[in-house]
Amino acid sequence: MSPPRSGVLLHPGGQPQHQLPAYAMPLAVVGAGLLLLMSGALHGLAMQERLQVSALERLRREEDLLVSAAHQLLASLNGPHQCLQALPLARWEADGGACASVAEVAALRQAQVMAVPVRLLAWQPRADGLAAELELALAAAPGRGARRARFGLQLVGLPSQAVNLRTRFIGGGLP
Amino acid sequence: MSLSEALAACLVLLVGSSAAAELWSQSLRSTWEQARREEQLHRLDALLLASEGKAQELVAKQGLAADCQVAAGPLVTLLLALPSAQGATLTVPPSPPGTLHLRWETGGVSRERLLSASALGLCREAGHGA
Repeated sequence: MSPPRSGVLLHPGGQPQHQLPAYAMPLAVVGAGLLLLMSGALHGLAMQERLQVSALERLRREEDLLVSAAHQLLASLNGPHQCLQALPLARWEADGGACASVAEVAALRQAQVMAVPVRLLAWQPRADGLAAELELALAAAPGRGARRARFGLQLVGLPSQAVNLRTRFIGGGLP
Repeated sequence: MSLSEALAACLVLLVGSSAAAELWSQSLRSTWEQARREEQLHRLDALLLASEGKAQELVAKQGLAADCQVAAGPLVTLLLALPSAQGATLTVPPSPPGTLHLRWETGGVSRERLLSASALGLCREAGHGA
């Protein structure tokens, strides 16, 4: 008796029955694996996009905090602490006693803006007294440097009033 | 290969493709949601810019007010009338003296800023000379 052809079994009754190919299971596993792999890659891309949008939201929030801190400081310098406008930051404590106590200067240097601490790094009026530069920084977050911003502004009128705040640079805060 | 092995292969394929479809659908939902958030962020960027523009408009219209606490009040009215503000909510939380706290929110995304009325040129505080 010759051996049966591949794929056909001859049962004792003589009725041929089609045999299922033996590679169906590996094919199913490979097919399912490939589908999962492609979906996993797509999922990875989606997660990456999510992280990017989260990072963008964080950057915008930090920019808002820095700009807000600048406005909050200017509200003080245009108001009760006007005499500090003409002084560079390093001289505020020593020479700003006419309009700001040491504690008030400390509060201006380390302000709370929307419950977030913001540090005043520099206040530098120009020699002609018509403009000034302002630099602020947020506290460094774990794994990232401090995000900081530099602003330019005009000092107009007598006594001078700080107006026309312009952002010159916002940066830092990268890992 | 027996029938039970064939059924097992079908089951593997079914489970695999179903899990893949679920992942695929999650990814598409997430991508759509992130695209929406990004679009809202850009919209809020534009609203913030427009807010500053409106402040300048107000300065030109009303000139310098003497009281910084009330000078920024009309700005809120102008901002609420911004055409780009449609669908966005503007709230004005309490803020430090001389400042206006603006909070724009749309679709679960928000931007908020403190603005100094005097730095915007809306007012000039009297009696604070050195």
